[in-house]
Amino acid sequence: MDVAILTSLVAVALSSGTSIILATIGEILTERSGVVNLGLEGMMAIGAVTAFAVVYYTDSLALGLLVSMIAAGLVAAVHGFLCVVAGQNQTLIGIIIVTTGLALAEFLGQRLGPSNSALIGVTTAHFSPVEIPVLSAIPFLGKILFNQDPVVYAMYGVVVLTWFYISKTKYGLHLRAIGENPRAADAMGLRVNRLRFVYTVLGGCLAGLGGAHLSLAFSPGWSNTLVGGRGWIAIALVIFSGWNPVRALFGAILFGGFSILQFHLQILGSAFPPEFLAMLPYLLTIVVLVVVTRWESLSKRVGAPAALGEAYVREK
Amino acid sequence: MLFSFEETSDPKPSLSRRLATLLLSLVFALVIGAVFMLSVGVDPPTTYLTMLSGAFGSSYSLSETLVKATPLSFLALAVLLPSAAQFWNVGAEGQYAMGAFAGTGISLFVAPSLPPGLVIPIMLVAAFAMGAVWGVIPALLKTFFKANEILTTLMMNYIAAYWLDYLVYTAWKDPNGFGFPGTAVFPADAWIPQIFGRMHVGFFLVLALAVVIWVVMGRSRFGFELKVMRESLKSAYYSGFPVARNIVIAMVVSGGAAALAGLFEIAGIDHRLQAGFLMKYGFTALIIAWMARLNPLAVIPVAILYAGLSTGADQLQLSMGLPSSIATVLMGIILVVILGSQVLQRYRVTLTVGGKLWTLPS
Repeated sequence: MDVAILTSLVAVALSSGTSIILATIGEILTERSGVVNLGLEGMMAIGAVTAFAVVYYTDSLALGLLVSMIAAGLVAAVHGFLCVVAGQNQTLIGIIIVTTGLALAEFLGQRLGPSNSALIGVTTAHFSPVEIPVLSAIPFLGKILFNQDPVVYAMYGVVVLTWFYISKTKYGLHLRAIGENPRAADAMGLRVNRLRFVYTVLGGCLAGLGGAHLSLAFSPGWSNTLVGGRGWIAIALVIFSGWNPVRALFGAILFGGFSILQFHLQILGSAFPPEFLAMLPYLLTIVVLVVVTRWESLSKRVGAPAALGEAYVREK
Repeated sequence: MLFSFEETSDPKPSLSRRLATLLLSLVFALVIGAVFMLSVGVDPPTTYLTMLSGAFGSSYSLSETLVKATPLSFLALAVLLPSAAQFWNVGAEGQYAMGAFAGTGISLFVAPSLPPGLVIPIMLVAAFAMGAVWGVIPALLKTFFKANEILTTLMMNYIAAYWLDYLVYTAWKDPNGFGFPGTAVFPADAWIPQIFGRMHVGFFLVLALAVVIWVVMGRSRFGFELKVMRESLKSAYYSGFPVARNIVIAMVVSGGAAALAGLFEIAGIDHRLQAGFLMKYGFTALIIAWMARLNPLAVIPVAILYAGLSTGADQLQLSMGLPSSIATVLMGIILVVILGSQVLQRYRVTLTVGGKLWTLPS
């Protein structure tokens, strides 16, 4: 394979993985605070469909991104309310949020088009790659990293900022404290449940932004299968990354690469049936999950926040 | 406007108060549903009435509701067992698909050389075995490698779905089907008899299964161990219970039961495997099982209610042109309100608007 093809392949993999990275970063923030949000898939779908509808009516890409974050954030607020305030089972609520979110997105996609028709097959303005002068001239990496759409550039910022926030700031320390030992954090004077709620909503906003990248940049348009399991892969990536935003970036490019690879193999006329190629990312997720979990338990490294998934109730 | 939450120390609210909360939250959910309908330009009373009559209004609609309730009850009972062992089987969908795959294979390729009476029993056994294998893989990955079962079962759903796609679009596509993505129609020996409309004997089997699981959960040592595991995995370990073995057994039964649902669906309703077979019942099944508080007998009425909502929504699509996904949205609203209402059991909520105070529960 020559370098030009390889570069463009990795560049598309990065674009393909961007929605996953954004959702993963959001989930890392939520899980670090001690809340599991399995609803990412639904929130991404809500973000994708609302962003697309807004751009369809206003032609404003920025407004589309904003609305996608607000809409998915609202769904995450429901999750936060039920899990953090009402203390319900987080796995069950996550599953309810996924089914309801996907159905709502599907419903909106069927109704929000011109005169109550479907948005499916409709085209709008969308993001295109913007080449950054000088930086894009770096051999190999320049074409991969600096010839992308603006949401990808925003994603770089989100990854670096989140990493810095979690590991270098006071607030990041608070975040880790409420996820590791809520009782001690409470004794320190932190409002555990209020913070958990905020980080759940923030995680939802990022998942919504990820969805918007799908419908406005990576594959402009809306269809019921647009998100296609990316929300779940993001949750697997959180485990893969060991709750570390920078490691999540590499994982997401790997997964993005796999989903791109199937299209290229199809174009090259592979003898493999397309359905088998489409299975690859999911199969890879299982294999990676088993290997990473095994490796973590062997290396005695504690990955997950200690109080993950448990509602916090103050003792009287 | 300001909300404040104050934790109450009322541990067990009375039954009448719980019922009142439930009724109030149902009404509240219907109101929110109505607001949602108005916001998308649909008349709420007409919509609700159309749904109700579409679900239970005629013997046809009632039989269609039971047709949908059958796989939902099967799958909910299937996920209930591992749930009791704190193992989340999010993969019922995939096990259901693999049951349909096994049944299709038997009826297309083995049935012609079998005595007629044996076809259905062999299909049942093959489907159960295939589903059990598909279900036990994540159980083994969990017990040997601690791999998160929510993710492994879920990823296996996608793999199973693509496998069915491969069968109906390529490998087992009916050569005389004019390009239609589906297998040939099964031979008549492989048809499971229908009784009331399209409702087939599977419905009675699922009733029997509910009773069996109820007895196993309530009367057997295995059921007792599952109960302890649900309360606390640690206590189960300390009591020397075979935790890993119980998870594996629960998943063998779970995968098998989910696969039977898939088999009944193709052998009792469709009589062929075709594109669009998967209905995303897996998540719904988990929700039904938990709303029934993991009680096998309560699963059946909850599943019938959910099925009613769904057939009612099909009626909406036919007569009002509304997307049937509205049923899932309404169900979601109802669930969120019911589960959210429990906040009233944990907290005393005070709402302050312009100096005025409202307190709930008062």
